[in-house]
Amino acid sequence: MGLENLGFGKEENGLILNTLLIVRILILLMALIAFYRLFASTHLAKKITAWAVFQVSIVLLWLSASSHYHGQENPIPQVVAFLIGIFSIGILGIMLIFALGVLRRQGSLQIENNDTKRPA
Amino acid sequence: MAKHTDSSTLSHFISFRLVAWIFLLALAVLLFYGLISLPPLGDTNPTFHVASRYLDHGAEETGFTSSFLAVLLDYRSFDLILFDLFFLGLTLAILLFRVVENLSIRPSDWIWAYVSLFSSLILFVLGWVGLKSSSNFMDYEFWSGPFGASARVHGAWITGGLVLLTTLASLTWAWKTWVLGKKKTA
Repeated sequence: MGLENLGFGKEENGLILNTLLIVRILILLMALIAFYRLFASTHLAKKITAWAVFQVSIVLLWLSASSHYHGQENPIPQVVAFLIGIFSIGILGIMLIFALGVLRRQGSLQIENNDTKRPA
Repeated sequence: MAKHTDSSTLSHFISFRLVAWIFLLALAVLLFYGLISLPPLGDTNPTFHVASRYLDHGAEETGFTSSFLAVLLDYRSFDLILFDLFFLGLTLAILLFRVVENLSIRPSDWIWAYVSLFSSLILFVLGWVGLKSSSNFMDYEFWSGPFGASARVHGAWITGGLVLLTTLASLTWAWKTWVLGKKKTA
């Protein structure tokens, strides 16, 4: 582990490794933006989308860790990505049910929180 | 008074954003730490040391030619219990939601809840038999008595099949609840 894993100091395939690094950092940024939107948005559809984007980013990061050992592809990143993917769909199911509760009470998916509430 | 209202709104805004930014910073550090631990493309070392055993002995030990299935359904089959428990929890939460929100449950809807509940129940009973010998989740050695040497791979397929059944039934149950709820709200 360390900076050498990011491709620094490996001249023979530095371009590929640096491209991979940039792609990984972009995915990381996408995950962070989605996580922030998960907190900050006051519309449940946007929150659900933010959760989906966040989980897709995590799955992509795991899949980018695919490696080979003794000529075979290491299945662990794929297995973890698969389990995270299905688990995230389950969480989406819970969010959908919560959203339905809000929809039935308020007539819309817009929610109020401390960020939007204005004291009278 | 107006000034007080403005400052109150501002403090609400700052406290909410502050919590979000603290969480975001912690997550950024955690994910970046994970990111620099990832192997580079074409790396010949396994991400996890245990993967070397999975890849070297997976086929002969589990009977699966696919290392993905060997890890998911056999070596890590115990993890699938937690997975199954989560989706069973989702089924029960939706059942509770339907009662609280006074949404009708038609017999065709009940099927999905029953499938989820019974597939979990069968999985837990079969797994409990396995836990007695503290080997794998389902005791494939025990099942090889009545079903022969290939029982390990069959047991793994049964584990996977039951978890898949619970997951699909639970998600269908959630989707049907969403559709029914939206129809009644409209």
